[in-house]
Amino acid sequence: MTAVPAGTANWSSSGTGAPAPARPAVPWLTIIPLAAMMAYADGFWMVSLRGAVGAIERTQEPFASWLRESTVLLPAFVLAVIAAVTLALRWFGPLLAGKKAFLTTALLVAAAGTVAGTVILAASEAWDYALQHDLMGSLHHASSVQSVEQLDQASLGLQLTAFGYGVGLLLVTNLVVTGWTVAIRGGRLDVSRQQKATPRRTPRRAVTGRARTVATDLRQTLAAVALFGSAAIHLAVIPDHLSHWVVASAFFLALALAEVAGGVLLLGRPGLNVLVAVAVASVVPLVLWVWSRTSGLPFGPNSNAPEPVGLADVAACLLELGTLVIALVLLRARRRETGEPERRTAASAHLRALAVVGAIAIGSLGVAGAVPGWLGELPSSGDTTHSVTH
Amino acid sequence: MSEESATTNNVSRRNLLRLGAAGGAGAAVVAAQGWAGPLLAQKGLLSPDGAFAASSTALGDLLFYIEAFPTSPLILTPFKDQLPIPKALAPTPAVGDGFTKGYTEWSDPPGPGQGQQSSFKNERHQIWPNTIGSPDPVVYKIDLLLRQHAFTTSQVLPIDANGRPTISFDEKRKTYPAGTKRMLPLSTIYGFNGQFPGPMINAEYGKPALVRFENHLDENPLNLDRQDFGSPDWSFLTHLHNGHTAPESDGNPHYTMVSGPKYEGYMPQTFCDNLYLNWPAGNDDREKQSFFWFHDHRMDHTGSNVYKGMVGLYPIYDPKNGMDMGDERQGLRLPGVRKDNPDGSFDVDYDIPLAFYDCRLDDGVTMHKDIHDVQKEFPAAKNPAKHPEWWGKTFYKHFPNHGFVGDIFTVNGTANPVMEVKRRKYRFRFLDASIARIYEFKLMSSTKGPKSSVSLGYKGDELEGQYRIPDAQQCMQFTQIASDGGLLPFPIKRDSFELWPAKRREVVVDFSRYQDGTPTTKGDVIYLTNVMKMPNGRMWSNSSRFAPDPSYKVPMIKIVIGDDAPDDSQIPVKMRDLPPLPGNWQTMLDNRLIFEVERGSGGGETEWLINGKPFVPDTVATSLKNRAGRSPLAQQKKGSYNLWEIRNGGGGWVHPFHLHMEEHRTVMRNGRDVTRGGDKSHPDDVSREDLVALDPGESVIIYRGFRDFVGPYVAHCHNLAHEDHAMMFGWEITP
Ligand SMILES: [Cu+2]
Repeated sequence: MTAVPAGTANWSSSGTGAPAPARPAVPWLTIIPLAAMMAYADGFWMVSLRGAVGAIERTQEPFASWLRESTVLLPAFVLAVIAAVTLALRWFGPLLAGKKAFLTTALLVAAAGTVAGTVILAASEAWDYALQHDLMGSLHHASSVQSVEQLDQASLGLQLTAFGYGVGLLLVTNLVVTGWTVAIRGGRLDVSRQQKATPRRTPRRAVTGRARTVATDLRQTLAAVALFGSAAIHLAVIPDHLSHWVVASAFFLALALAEVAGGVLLLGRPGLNVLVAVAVASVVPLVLWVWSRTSGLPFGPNSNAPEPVGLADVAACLLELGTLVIALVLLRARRRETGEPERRTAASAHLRALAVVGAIAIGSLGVAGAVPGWLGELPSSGDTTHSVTH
Repeated sequence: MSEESATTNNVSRRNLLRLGAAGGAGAAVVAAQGWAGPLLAQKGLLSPDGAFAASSTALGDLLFYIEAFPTSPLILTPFKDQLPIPKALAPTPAVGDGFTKGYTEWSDPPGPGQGQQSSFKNERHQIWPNTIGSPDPVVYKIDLLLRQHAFTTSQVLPIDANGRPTISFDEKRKTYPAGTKRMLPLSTIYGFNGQFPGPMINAEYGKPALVRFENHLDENPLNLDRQDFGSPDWSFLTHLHNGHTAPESDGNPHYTMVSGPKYEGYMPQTFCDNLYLNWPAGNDDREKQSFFWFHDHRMDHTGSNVYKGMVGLYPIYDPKNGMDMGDERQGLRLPGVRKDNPDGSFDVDYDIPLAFYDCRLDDGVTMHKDIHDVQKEFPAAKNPAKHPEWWGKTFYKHFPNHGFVGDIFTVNGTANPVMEVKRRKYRFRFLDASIARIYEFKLMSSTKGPKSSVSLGYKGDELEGQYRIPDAQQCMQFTQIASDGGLLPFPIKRDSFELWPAKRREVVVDFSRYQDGTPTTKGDVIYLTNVMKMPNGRMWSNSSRFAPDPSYKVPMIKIVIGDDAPDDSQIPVKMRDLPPLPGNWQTMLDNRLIFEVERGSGGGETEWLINGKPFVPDTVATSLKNRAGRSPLAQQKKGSYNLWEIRNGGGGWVHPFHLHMEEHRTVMRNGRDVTRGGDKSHPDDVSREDLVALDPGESVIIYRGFRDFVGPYVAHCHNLAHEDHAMMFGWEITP
């Protein structure tokens, strides 16, 4: 029996023993399970921590919250894992050779998941603290000894402690989960996949999906995804507006349809007019948003009253801003290089995936933020001071 | 071929890894099901949400709310102190006798006029007895005094959490080596007339009582160290639990914050006249009750004030047709031999109130530290600090994450009392005056008698109760005759019964025979035994209903059978009918008011909420959305009736939820109609109550009336650690 280099034979990627792929593709089969495991495991801790120290508005029905939030945040974890894998690809090449490369990659993946989890945890706890702060403010114990600041201080301290422990829990969990996921896949941890699939594996995908994506410019793909994302967010806010402002709902519906159309056209070979239309479809909501959040719109049920900034509208704006920038860049490129054959950006599949998943992550957050109660934002039922004097 | 064998090797290694990972996960699932499953099921947590609640609680206990409680020193000679049996408090005469002033001679005499209800002179009594055809009230005076109390006269052995002898201290912080037997110092109390339990008022329907509660807690004639609990401004607020009482006499913060003192309680050198009409709701005889107690209700400090001693007893008799007037020769012929005293009061033999209260004594090495210290409520204590000078005195924690339970169980203020009984029937009025502890009582006999838990090798929480009777067997039954709302429609035979905080249950016990029919003989010993293990303030870990622990049998009272005595009492077949329930009560379900008691972190010390809101004293709460799609305010018209639903928001806690003003009747429990009884865990659902005992995850729908008075009231959890940390809501009756 000839010794096969330990790293390659026991731990490496492809299992077919095929030579390194010429142009590495994204190993989705590795990335998605890792991201999903980390998203749901980290989500468990986040929801549990919230149950211990979080705001009460966000602690009801923890199981549903966990399912919902982990799913909404899944793209963020996918993004993190792609980033880790991309880095590993840079460092070790398309095939992981040796235990060191393998372990470093696994650690990178767990660390990236932890970074994503930490950012989410921080946002979640900041929100808890804000809600608790509001609750404290609404308390008016007349007793001189109880001061709101002291209670506030106490809840802030608790949130900070919880954050500290939370990061530790996430890190340990992600290490375990990464290890387990790699083990259950038979020790498989790929940083890349062969571009051209061998006939044995997934013959269909090679012809259909792949060819199409490769053909499209990354910038176009990105703008299309961003448009789809903001369309989804705009669709999601329709029900909430329906009750008090039908005109706004109609506007959001029209906008969403326009965005979907723009996205579809962008995926093809967009002409000048399509690019201009996309730019306009991005500028209009951006202008309206800035207007409504600063001085307030001069029409509608709450005219001239600035609206509060929320997760959904910020996410939509980010996506629209991205689309706008890309549309302008494409327009400029087109004007400069008229007549020349279209130049493709030579981004690697990994970078391409990073950008696209990033846009999806923002869209996913935005959609979740638009549905009342989904990320815990509930309409508060106001108590009323009692009316009878006695 | 090497290539081939490498591949095989590779494949088998893969399979091994896969197998290992799958096996590990499988083992974890099996272990979780076998070990955590039953635990979670008992706590109502065997559900996806429950798993999260359990994990949150575990995180909280492990990481955020670490708290240490002292282990009380071991009482070395238990069951030597006599059970104190309170005598009726004498009323204040209208005209004095040279020693004491009569109430008409007080500088501010009580009366029906404007400004005559309290020293604030800004309120009047909503209903003076003459408007309902009752005589002027019998007047009592009760002063709030700073005094001392002994829980035992026995020597004690200081022990640590592992039951090993440990060091102890005295008031000069002098250290005594481990193994030194000690006498306990007296504990500092705030008491009604300076005693614990406070005085007992024997009341009667048709004879209103007016109690002037006067605050002298600022006076410190014995120069006592007040320690670090009890309301820091020495204010009080007395609630008669659960009299049908007007808001100004009800002692609830929803009232006091907007009227009267306009503060959480009555400050030192102020007084308040609580007028108890001793008149049933709606003047309906079927609403008559039989056992009240009065206790402090000062906002945010009810638990610390009650624990510091503010507990009084108030049995109420019904002389109408002699039905239940303390005379076993008349009416229902319940046990009781009445003796009328010359001062106008009366005592009833063989009719004994039993107030249960658990405490912890300071070990001098446990850190005193909670949020109330950050707030500088007790600056003299300089907390966080250890207090060896308080060794052996009551220890309290205001803001316990797990709730507060004691490890010394007392009855009528005495730990491990003994009581000699005649060979006849007795009526016992049980009251749980504890912060959070729930008891389950059984009458048991034993040949070998009690052994200290330490000597049996127990440690930690298992030491709670200090003694156990390993060979105890049930020997007698109880005949339950009353619950919170007074006499039941019919007596219920019970092997054991639970007593939740603030709840009352009355039983008749026949000490002339055992349950198997054999007669008792003089000198026989019976133990009133607690069989519910409740290691912390959350809930029981073991009880007869859930996971009984046959080795947890804690003797509470040693009962010694004495001489024969005449017995004219009988156990009746039928007692008091329930007030009627409208035939169409089910049609009221859609519009019911819904209140969910929840655990939640509002930050700081706001941990216990109702419908997601902390208690705001000048505010009426809002119901959750009901089936009719409305979220009504907790406002009811005077004379109306409604269904209210109280839900346990989960998290592995139980809540004794108390509603002021009128007794209610449970109509549904967990979605099932229980108006004809039928719930095995709650056989006295067919009675009137003022406290909803919420098992984990339970929801209870009650039918209640809002009669006779208008104004603000409260409803709250009677786990006093919960009540003091915002698990209370305001509601009101509108004209
Ligand atoms: Cu409670």
